[in-house]
Amino acid sequence: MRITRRRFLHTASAVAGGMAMPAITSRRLHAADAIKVGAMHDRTGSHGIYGKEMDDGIKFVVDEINKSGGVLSRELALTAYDTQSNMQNYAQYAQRLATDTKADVVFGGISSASRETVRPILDRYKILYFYNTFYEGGVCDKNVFVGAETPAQMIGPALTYSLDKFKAKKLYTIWADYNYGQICSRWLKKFAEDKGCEIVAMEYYPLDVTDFSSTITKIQQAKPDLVVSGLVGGSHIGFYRQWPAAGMLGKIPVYSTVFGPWEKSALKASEIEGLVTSFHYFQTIDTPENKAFLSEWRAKLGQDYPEIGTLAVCTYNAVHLWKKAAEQAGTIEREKVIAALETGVSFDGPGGKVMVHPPTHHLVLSTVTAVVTDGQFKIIQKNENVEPQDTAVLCDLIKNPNQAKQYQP
Amino acid sequence: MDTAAVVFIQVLSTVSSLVLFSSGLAVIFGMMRVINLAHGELLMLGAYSLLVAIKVGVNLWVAMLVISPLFVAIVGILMERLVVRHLYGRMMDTLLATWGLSLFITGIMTTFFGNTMEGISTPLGSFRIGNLTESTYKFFIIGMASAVLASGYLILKHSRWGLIARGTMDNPIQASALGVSPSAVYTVTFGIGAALSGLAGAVLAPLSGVLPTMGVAYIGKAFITVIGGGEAMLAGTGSASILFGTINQIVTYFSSSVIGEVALLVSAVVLLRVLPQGITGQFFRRSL
Repeated sequence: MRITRRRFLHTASAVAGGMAMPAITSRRLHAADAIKVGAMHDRTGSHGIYGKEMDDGIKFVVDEINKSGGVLSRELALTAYDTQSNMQNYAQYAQRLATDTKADVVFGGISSASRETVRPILDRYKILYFYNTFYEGGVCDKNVFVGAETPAQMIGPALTYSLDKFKAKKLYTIWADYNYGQICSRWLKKFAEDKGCEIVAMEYYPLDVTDFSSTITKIQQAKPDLVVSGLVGGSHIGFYRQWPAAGMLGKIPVYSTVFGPWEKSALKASEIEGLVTSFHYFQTIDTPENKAFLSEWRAKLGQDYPEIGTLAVCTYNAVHLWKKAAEQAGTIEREKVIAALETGVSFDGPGGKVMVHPPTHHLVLSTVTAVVTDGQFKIIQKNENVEPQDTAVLCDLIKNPNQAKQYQP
Repeated sequence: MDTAAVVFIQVLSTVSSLVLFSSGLAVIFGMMRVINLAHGELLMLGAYSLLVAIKVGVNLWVAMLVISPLFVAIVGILMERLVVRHLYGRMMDTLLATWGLSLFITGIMTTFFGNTMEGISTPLGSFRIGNLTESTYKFFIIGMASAVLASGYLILKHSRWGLIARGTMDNPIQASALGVSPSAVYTVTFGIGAALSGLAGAVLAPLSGVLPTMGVAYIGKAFITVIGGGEAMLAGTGSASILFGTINQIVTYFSSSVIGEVALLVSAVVLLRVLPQGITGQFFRRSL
């Protein structure tokens, strides 16, 4: 067909109009002065078991804050992405939140791999970033605040408890084979050896391994006093099923650094009796604040919402900490909010008080050690004001503010 | 000595799992040359149908051996009728279509069942060999794999239906001239392949967590086994499973599971370089 001038003008204007549509329509849809909050969680995929409650958590807390008047009298407009446990999605959505949505603050990331994908992007675009999943520690970045537990906080008290209770000297350790497992295993080795224990083995499993039979045989031959498990994700749940299947439940105690309601709900109570675990928050924490929080959560998200864990609560706490800092600073401008957070902002969350630890940009919080009893997390002990010592030894952002890296033991 | 015995049983069990979860694909790809990327999801549906049946109160063994295969067979037949049948001979398009189906099925299961579901603990308890204990369920898996291979052989070699199926796969035009409807044979064959996958998913479910995404862990190995096996369906799957399963399990035992997986993949690459038609392109050529 011949391209006439008329046809060309028609097509070009239609295309140009179509491509400009998002700018035209979205301007009308968003409130003019809303604060743009970005979120990235794996609602589906291998880490979906963790991401669902975090994604629901951020929607819950943004809604709660908006109902009570927003931040600095401005509404929060949430853009929450489901990254589907895929790192490319994290990179893509981080880019989009930075350049297209132009978010004022971003909450998200689950696996350490996802955090390390997103961190450089958000640093480059100078967008404040909160990472709220318990991890292997060491992140030392002026632009990043970690709203969750580090190994010193989770493992420290729980390991002490396990070593005392089971009189353990020989430890056999198994880990997920990515940065979390690799780095966390080294922290555990350090903590255990400081207490005079011997680490008999450190084994690593890719995230899609489902068959642990040779591991279990090797553990039986090594005869350790305690098995420490840092297995992560859906496929590794197989270990917690194959262990009692091989008749090992109760023969050798197991302490898991990553075992929360997300794994527990896939297993039968009889399969996990006696498992030791530790986080900042368990749903079974018996305080009035927690009960109030849970009834609000259930009212909004359904009375039969599955048991939530520390991930949802850390997300909830992080947004409130940011809100407090913004209100203290009187602005959402990144530098001023960071300065406000560094004065040691604190918030009373459902798991207790959490406070920003200025030199490391992590939190001082309480951690709870629990033992699975009759299918429930029975709380054994609570340690208050545990500092992120593993990161504190290496990272001081007040003295050396220009840092953006992750330290390793 | 105990170690050797336990490792031997674990090797047999790994080989048997490979046979089980590759058998469905062996039928669908081996016989019909359909690249079914939704194979992992058929396994997953087998596992979920087992869990649902048990929740409703059906006996474990009935659910595992009857209900799951039936249910997934129906899904397979629907898949074949609605999607795959229009794409016979078009390999790239079947690949894309089954990939889309796999995403669709995963999505639907996530929507209805959420991300985790309480599974079933491994039945049959454990047994002891000297100082070591292992799960008795492994014997069941070995038994099931043998049953699948044996019944496959009997049906294909000695039954009328097996004759019709083999004939149609070989030469559909000649078969239709003799009064057989090739499209009906294709549908039934696809259904049987799906049923085998459903059975495998149900049998393997008590050993691992049941998630909508569990299919992903199996599909790679299933394809490697089927292609490494070659033309013949039963002998191919059997011999490839023995080769890869043994290498994988022994290397895993002596080092770590990462190296075990690498060893499996390296041996697959070497095998295909040396025997491009798969094992049964060279050995056992005339077998089933």
